[in-house]
Amino acid sequence: MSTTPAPAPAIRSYFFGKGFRDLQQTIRASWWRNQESAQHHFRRCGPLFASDEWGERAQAVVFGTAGVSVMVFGTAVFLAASAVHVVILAVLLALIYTAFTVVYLAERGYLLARRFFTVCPVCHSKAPLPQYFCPGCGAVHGRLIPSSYGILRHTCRCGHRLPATFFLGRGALRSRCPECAHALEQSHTESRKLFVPVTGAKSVGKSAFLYTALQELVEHRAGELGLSHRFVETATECDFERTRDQFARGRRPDVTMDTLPRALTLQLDRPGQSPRVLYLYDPAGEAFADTQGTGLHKYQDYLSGLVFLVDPFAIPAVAGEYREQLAAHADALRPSAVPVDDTFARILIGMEEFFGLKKGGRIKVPVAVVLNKADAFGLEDRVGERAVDARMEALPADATREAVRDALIREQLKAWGEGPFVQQLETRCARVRYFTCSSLGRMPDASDRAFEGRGVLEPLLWIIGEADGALVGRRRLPLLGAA
Amino acid sequence: MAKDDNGAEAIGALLVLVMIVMAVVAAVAALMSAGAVYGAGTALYNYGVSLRESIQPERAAV
Repeated sequence: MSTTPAPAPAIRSYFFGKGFRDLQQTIRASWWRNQESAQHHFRRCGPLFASDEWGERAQAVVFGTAGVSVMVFGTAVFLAASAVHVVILAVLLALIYTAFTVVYLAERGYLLARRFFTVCPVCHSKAPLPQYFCPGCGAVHGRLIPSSYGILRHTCRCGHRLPATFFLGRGALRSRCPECAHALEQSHTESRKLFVPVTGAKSVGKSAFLYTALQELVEHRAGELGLSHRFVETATECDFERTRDQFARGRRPDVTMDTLPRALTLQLDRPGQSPRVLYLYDPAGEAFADTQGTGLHKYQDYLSGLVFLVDPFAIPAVAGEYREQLAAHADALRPSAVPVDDTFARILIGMEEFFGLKKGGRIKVPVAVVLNKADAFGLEDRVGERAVDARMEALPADATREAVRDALIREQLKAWGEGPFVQQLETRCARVRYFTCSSLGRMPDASDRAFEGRGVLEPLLWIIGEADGALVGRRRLPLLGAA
Repeated sequence: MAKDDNGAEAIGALLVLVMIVMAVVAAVAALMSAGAVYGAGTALYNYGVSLRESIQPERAAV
């Protein structure tokens, strides 16, 4: 199989292709012209030399000498002219090569420094650049960079001039993913990015968590944090609007069916900073039913953090404790049937098998462990923010809320028999924090009262702060219910 | 006296011979130079014509 890239639908610089074909043709044509000139003189010389008249013989000598002269001196000049031609071409080629290499390296350095690269929200492929479309004819330019096709601009075969660097506004061209050909926006490339999947077994409430967090961020917290926002893709905005409508009417979000999720992309801008794009992933719980499922989630290769959602009612001790209430509200609560530590172990194995995590190695990115459904059956008082409030009252004033919450949830998980899970978490993850939340804010029922989630954004903001302190700051964020 | 005249004639003849040889050499050199210039000029002309006919920038399809 050839590894040579397909030629671009652009006109290559004269000095990288046609210049040398022209040189070859010039040398060949010039040589034959010289031969023809010499032969021309020799042909005139022959009959004159055979003549009896001295005058004609003298002319024959002149023509013969001219032929020899063209052969000897002409060849010398031909060789010299060819050499000069080669040198001029080579020097210009070297100059252009140097120029586009310098511009290319400057651009690569600039993009690397700003941490700009392309990530497809559909197939999750990561690439330095997307493929760009010519606005004139729609031809796809796979490598629109300073190259032998042009230092600053490429000329499409249709004649349209395309900017070949970031600095000249290349990002304004329509583009697509080099892997799956999905249409990309400028922000999919020219932005700093944060990649946060919401993981967990089936029925832990991942979609509700994600959309509630997104709603809280968009409608309230982004403004409070001094950030402006916009949805990068219409598809994300439509999903968001639809789910917001469902929440407003007291309906749960649609069940996620895609084990390979499409990222929800939200651009966040702070004046004076590079734009940021938040990629949020909501894979179906089935993706964590086996390790092969997680192998397709390429975003795990470049994670910024991980939200691991836990349904407390999937813990046997909790399920046992609340057996009667669960029996009465099983349809509304939909407790997850998959053990918590099984799901986490599959995520770890998947990362070891497919994403370069060493056997027994630690996940370096922040991991937020979030106990969802904390509103149900008074769990809030045992492990939620009210329990944190109560414990803080009994502690010295310098105790931080985050540390108290971490300790409280860890202890409760251990008391529920999830000590091995906690140990595995803290052994395999370099940065872990524990949170509780209620993605819907109340138990779903037949009413059309709006859902109002609680505590969903804090885990996400903690991860964002850890991954990109300049965007939201690594400061301790006020928690809902902490006032 | 006659012996002196013979010597002068010989020297004169030799000078004339040298001058003739020099003139022939000069003529040959001039002819060779002209030949070289002609050959080189022809080659340069041929190279120029070939260059003009061969070099054409690649054009976009319209």
